[in-house]
Amino acid sequence: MMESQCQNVGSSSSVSSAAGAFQMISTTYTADINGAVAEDPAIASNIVQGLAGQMDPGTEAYAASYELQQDAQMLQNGGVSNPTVLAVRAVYQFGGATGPYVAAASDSANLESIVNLSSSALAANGLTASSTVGDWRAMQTKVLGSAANQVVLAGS
Amino acid sequence: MKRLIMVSAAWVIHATIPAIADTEVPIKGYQCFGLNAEALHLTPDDMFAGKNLPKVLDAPSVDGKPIGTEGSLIYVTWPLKIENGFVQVLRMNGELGWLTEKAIRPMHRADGSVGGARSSGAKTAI
Repeated sequence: MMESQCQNVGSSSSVSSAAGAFQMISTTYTADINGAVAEDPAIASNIVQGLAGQMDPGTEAYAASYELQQDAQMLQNGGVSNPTVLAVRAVYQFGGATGPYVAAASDSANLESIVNLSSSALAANGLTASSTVGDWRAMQTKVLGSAANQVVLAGS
Repeated sequence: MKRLIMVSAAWVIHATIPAIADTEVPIKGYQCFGLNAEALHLTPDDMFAGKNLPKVLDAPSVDGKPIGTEGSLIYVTWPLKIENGFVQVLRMNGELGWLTEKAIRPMHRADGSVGGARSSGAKTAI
């Protein structure tokens, strides 16, 4: 999930709780592992309980997979077919009501006009009012690499 | 808050939909409206989590089959096509559906006027 944006969250100046192999912050991890267990109670006996699970790659993988699945399903409900990791990232970052429009917009579309965020919120994410959806995609793809274009719910 | 940034309701857009994204032409016969979160009693958390978003039905009836959901930006048939309390909408996959009329609200243009933004840019007539 890379909620650290691949920054050095282990540094003393970091205030992020992003941790573990999938770099999820604590609140996301907790919500998602609970969701994963609710969806498939059988995994409960195979995971590390509590926040300690965040540091267990196998356990955190369940939570990360659940987040990907949920966001991809949200995109499909919104009319976006075969959501990619990059499309899911749009939902993850901009929310379920707005992310699908970012995912579906052309590269030249102005991002701010879709997400309607303040300049400070945009700046906090390395964006400006003139940033395009293509700019945002390039930023994310730089971090995600080839995984950006992978289909999340392949075979579903 | 688990994510990086919060999203508020959009009120001016120049977005495109996938079916025309490559061509960047206005979508004739449609306009963008906003989601009326207040009327639907949606909280900011609902919006961000994508919870309780209004269902799009395949027919203008409470008995219509759900075919998806709509989010903060809604492409409506223009002029509005309203039947039985439902408004016809264009989904991002190009499919037409029906949404409860109370789910939409007009958007403000950049000049402050109300009436729905154009679907792919404010300078090109629909």
